[in-house]
Amino acid sequence: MKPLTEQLKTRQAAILCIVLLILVLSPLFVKNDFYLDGFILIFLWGAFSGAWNIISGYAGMVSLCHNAFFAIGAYTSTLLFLRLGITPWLGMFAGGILASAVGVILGLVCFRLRSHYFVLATLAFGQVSHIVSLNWRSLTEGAEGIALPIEPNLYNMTFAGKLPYVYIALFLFVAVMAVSYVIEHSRLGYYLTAFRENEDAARALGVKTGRVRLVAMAISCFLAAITGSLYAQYVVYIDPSSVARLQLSVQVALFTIVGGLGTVLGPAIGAMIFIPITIFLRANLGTAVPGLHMIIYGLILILVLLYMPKGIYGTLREKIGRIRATSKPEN
Amino acid sequence: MDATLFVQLLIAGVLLGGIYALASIGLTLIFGVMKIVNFAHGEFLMVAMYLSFWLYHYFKLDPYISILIVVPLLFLVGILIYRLLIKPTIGAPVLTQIFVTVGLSMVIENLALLFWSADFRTVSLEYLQNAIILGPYPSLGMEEIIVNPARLIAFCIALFLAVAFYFFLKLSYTGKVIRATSQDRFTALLMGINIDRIFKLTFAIGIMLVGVAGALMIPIYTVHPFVGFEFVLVMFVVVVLGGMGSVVGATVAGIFIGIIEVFSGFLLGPESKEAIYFLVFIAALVIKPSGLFGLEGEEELERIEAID
Amino acid sequence: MKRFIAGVFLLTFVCFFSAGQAVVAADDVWRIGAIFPVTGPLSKNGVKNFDGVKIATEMINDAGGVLGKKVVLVSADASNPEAAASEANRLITNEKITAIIGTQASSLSMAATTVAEKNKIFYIENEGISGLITARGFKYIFRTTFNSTMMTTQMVDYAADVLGPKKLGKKAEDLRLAIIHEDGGFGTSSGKGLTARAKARGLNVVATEKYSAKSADLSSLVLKLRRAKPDILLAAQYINDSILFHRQAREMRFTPLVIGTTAGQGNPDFIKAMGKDAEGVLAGGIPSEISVQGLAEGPQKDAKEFVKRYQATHNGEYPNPTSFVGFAGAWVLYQFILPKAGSLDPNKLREAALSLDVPRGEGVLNWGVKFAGPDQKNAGQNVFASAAINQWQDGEMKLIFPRAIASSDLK
Repeated sequence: MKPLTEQLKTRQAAILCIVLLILVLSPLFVKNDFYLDGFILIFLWGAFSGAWNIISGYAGMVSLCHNAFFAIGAYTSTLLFLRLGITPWLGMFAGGILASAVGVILGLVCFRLRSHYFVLATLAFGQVSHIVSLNWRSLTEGAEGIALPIEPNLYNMTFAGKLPYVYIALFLFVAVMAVSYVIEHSRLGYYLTAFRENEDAARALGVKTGRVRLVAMAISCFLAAITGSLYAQYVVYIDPSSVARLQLSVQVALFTIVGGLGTVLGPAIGAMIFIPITIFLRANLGTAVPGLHMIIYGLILILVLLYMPKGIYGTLREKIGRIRATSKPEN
Repeated sequence: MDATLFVQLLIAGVLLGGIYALASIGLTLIFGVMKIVNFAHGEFLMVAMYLSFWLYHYFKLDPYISILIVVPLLFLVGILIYRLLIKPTIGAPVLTQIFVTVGLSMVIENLALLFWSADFRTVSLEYLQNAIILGPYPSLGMEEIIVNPARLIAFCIALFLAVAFYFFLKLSYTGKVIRATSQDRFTALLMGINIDRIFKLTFAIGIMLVGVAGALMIPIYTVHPFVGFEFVLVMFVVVVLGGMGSVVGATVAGIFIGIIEVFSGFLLGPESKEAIYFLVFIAALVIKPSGLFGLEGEEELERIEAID
Repeated sequence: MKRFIAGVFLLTFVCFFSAGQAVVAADDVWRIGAIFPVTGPLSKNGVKNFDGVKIATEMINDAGGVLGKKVVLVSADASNPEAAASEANRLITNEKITAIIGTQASSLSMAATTVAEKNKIFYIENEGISGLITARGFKYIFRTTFNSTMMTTQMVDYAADVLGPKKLGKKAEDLRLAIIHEDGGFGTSSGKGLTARAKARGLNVVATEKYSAKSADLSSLVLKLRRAKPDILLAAQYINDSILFHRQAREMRFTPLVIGTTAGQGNPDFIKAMGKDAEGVLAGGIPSEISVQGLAEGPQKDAKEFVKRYQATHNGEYPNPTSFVGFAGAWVLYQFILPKAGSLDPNKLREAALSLDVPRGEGVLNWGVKFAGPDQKNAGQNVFASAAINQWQDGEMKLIFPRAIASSDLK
């Protein structure tokens, strides 16, 4: 008889495979473009939140400037395509690398700062990025924004239907979660957890907290930028107010915190809860009660933080852990 | 650049800084004593501005007089918010504290939008319409220097509050208790100080102070539901630059930022002035995170244990 | 606990799927989509713009509808570009909308019109003026109002040909012009237009400055401009920064002649805040009065009716220009395009739109209707729309240019 933990692991893996299969196959059956759009948004925001989670959740360095990396991704792949004809498939990697570089520099400069000072520094950096994107007109066209041409073909990463976008977004979404999973269970993850829990002890034990966090930052920024590129390809219009504003960072923080900071599924759950609620509220109340969905978000955020600080998935995981711990010992 | 222009820019910068300082004094107390990053602080500024506006709109009450109403009201609001939202987060991770206030700011902003609509409101007072003219001073080679009376009033009150709070914190018993709590919470607890009461008081004072700022700012600025966000960022810059917890620091830093903003706006171009002070902010954080007047190493203080 | 989680998930999926329930398309009404920012930071004008469209709809329905069928607006809130795109999708997919009117702000318009074009849905942009909206060669997007180039050209020409000579006694080439604009989409495209036109006419621009509309202080901007000593200031601002700017400029004794825009100096709140200091300030853009001079009889009646209805629901206030232009856009659809098309089929609507040739004076706001054809650079732009120049006179906004429809002269 296999030990309980292994039994559970195999069962977990099986569940995972089934869920993945459902996720991959279901879009094929959905004919309604509106739902497909919803899926794309869920996967996109889930991926972005997952990327944010890597530095803010796992590494414990809460960032409020991820909008800057999202924007770097969106602008880089778009500009490379429009100015140099480079396919966004490659352009997005360029954007990712650029974002990583910027993130690492930011980390080098600011990681020595503790908790709330670091948050404020990222906030300032995010604002500077927004202002730069507005003023560097020769590069970004400033506030007027850039419109991508709508010529659907594979090279342009533009498609006539929504289905290809769904799959690309889904792939990114799963990839981000996979990366989170790998980090969580790797040595990097342990180092990050050690740093997060007790920085001095971690350092005393020889954990290279600086380097470890920079790696996390690089990964996080890279993925955030890729999400930005995908967004640009889907919405085919970008401007500083849509890709570089602070609210983007606040939004992914909201999704991740409510879902479960520092967990693999947390960001996904957060996105899966909030996006449908947003769409629903907008569809039914939008014009009647201005600002209501934001009020609801704020309240949810406050309530979750006060009563379920580990987020939905985080709290769930804890409870299950406790149940497991008190369950029958293995044979 | 001639003397007149230089002095004019300087005065504009100092007065702007006075406004920043006025808005930030409350925040630095909260940040310094309770180690809480109150992102909703700008929203209370907005609420105070709206209150002054409505009092003027419906009762023709001069904003400088409505301070008498706004201040106690916001004090009570501060106590309420503390009880409901802040107290449960003392001792929680920084992330929790920050995002509870973020959530609060989202709620307040959008409630304002819901009830008061997105229209911009402002108050135009007759007696403030004429600028104060200094000079000309031909002997110094300067022509007229212009000073905005509403901003001057705000500046003077900012200075007054800074001085008043400096002495309050330094000399009065409550002030010393507050400082003790700010410096070493655990020991203060051991000395029999009721931390909860101190926090409640500090938070309420912080909110009350931004109420004063709001009432003084409505003759100068227009208010709309999202004006809080526009100010909160610079308020944080000022607070950190000045050293968290230091009222004098916030005042000096506020004026410093005001001067930087005006000069860089003139010399480099108005589109970059905000970016400049953010960069100055990051630089300051990197060089001396505790700020101008903060205690060395203060920024190192990490998670604090819960208080009850 | 688990049940709670499950409950949350259930709730959200129910929400999601119920949001997606397609509405049964009723055959005896015209269902037209309306995308406007009624929440969020852009809602100040978004709501008013939408009000204009709503009044137009009421008016046409009270008159018996279009071709006997009433118009039903299916509204959507778009507080940011992503929401605009998402809502456009929802209207098209779920509500089975085939014609949309929107969007007040250019950034929202860009996002929504992209979705519309991709899905071959007919779209009327009634207020967003960014040139980009009609510069993409799109087939289904039509803009009823002027674009920023038309507005900025009007402003510069008026400054050089009328304002300078009449008020300052200076010829165009002797004028010192300054251009300022806020750094958002509206300000930037307007600033570009102003600069380009001034350059094309060989005018002397002594200062060009850009700033953030959210600034807490514009004294550095004022002082910089003052040093350049311009005669006329051309400004693309929003209302709150224009108020701040004018207040600080007045203080610093910087009082050039100002031609602003409807969004800033032309906004009714400007006079509320500035009082008698608003006197003489000009604003280019949407005509401030639904001019009755020069309008054919039909449009004259319609315009008066619109004003009456607006005042009835807005405490007697004279209509906000952004409501006018909303009314105008919807009216073009209801009076000219839809009757000609006879259906809400996007291709029929498109054909009808392209075939229109309504001369100036026959349309509301004195605008005619003629859309640039698909082979032209700004396909979909109403070339018979024109920006007007307005001026605050005795506490009221008066239309002073073009002369044919002006209710007053330059003071």
